[in-house]
Amino acid sequence: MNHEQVPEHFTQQVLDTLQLDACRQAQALLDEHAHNLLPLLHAELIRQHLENCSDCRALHTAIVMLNARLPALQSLRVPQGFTASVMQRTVLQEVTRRHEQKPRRFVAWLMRPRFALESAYAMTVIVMLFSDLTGVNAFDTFDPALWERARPRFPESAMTFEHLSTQLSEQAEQQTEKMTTKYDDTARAIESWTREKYTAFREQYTALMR
Amino acid sequence: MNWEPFSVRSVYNNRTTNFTLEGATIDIEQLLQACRRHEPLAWEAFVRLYQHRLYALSFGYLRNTAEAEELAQEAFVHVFRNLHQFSGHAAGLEPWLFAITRHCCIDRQRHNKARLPSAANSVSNGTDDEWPEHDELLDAGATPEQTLATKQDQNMLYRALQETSEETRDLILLKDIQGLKIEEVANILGLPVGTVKSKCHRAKIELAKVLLRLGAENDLRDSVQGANS
Repeated sequence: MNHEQVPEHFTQQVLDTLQLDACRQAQALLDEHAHNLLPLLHAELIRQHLENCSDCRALHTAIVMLNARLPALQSLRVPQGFTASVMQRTVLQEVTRRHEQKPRRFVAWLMRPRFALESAYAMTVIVMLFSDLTGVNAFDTFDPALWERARPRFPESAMTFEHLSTQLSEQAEQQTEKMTTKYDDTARAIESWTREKYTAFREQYTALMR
Repeated sequence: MNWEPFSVRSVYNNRTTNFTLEGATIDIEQLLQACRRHEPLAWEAFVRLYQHRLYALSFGYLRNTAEAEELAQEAFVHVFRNLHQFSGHAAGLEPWLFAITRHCCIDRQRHNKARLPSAANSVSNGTDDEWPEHDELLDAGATPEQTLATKQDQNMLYRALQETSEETRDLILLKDIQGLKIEEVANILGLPVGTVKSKCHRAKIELAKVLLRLGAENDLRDSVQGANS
């Protein structure tokens, strides 16, 4: 290609692009250059670029200035009475917290794991009292109508809680006895069934071995 | 109740370690434990130790002294309320404090934007009057001209910071101004360390460009004013 045929604006564009690229590369390293963290070769290249490029030079000066001035903004003197205001607000916060503590303590007591166990235990006891699980239905045994009918037959002195409790315990014993008998029957049935099965198995085994 | 400022020297002068407050050395671990027990003197020492930095951080986000003061106080109340949840060592305390302050500031900014859509613009176009009056950064031995120049420079920095993106502001405030490590900033922002490292670099370039633009605008304004006068 003949160099004379290349338009002048094209050459300028290429030079501009190269310059822009050089500036971009230089700017990426300016901060490290300002902190003297670059290797010697890179630092020399940046220095040469800064000598020729006024934009990057200005940017470098601004970065050096920033590095020097920014740490000075780390703390500002607080206005008069700042500490006192913070202390007052904190005290107020503390007072509010103490007021709020009561319900929170109650909620925390409710939320503790032991409470779940205790409530489960209490529920079990209540369910057992109302059901026939124990064999004693403490509340169903007391029939007010029956009581009214039976009352004239007994002298006044006999109508005591002691008398009632004796009656209740007798009933409880009967119920328990019934249940035990039931369980005994079942156990006996299982035992005899097992014995039969075992005897049959043994006979078969003996026949096979022969 | 009287909460007049007092010297903590008498309370903490037997402690051995690395923090100094009003001439007294304070063991930050012991101070933390005392704060967790809600001891008022310890809490006051804690507030005095970090109030300037939390105030500076909230001012960096909001650029309004009144709001920054309120937000820094709010951050301290949050810290007090949640101090028992902080189980780390003293080294992790500053990032935790800055994270709380940042959250408070971001919440306030969102609230302001929702309430007054023009509030964000009014902050970014703030005037020199919003600069804190009690500025301990200024050199006591400096001449009035030097003081004014430093003040103007710092105001320019804050203005430039307000014109950058929120992410850039986060990175500059936490890393370059408050001096947190890359890992700590990454932890606060919830970003990978490598991402934060590259973003920090880009943030500084962005801030430098804004600063140059503002400087050029100021020069132009000065030259116009000079020509008019």
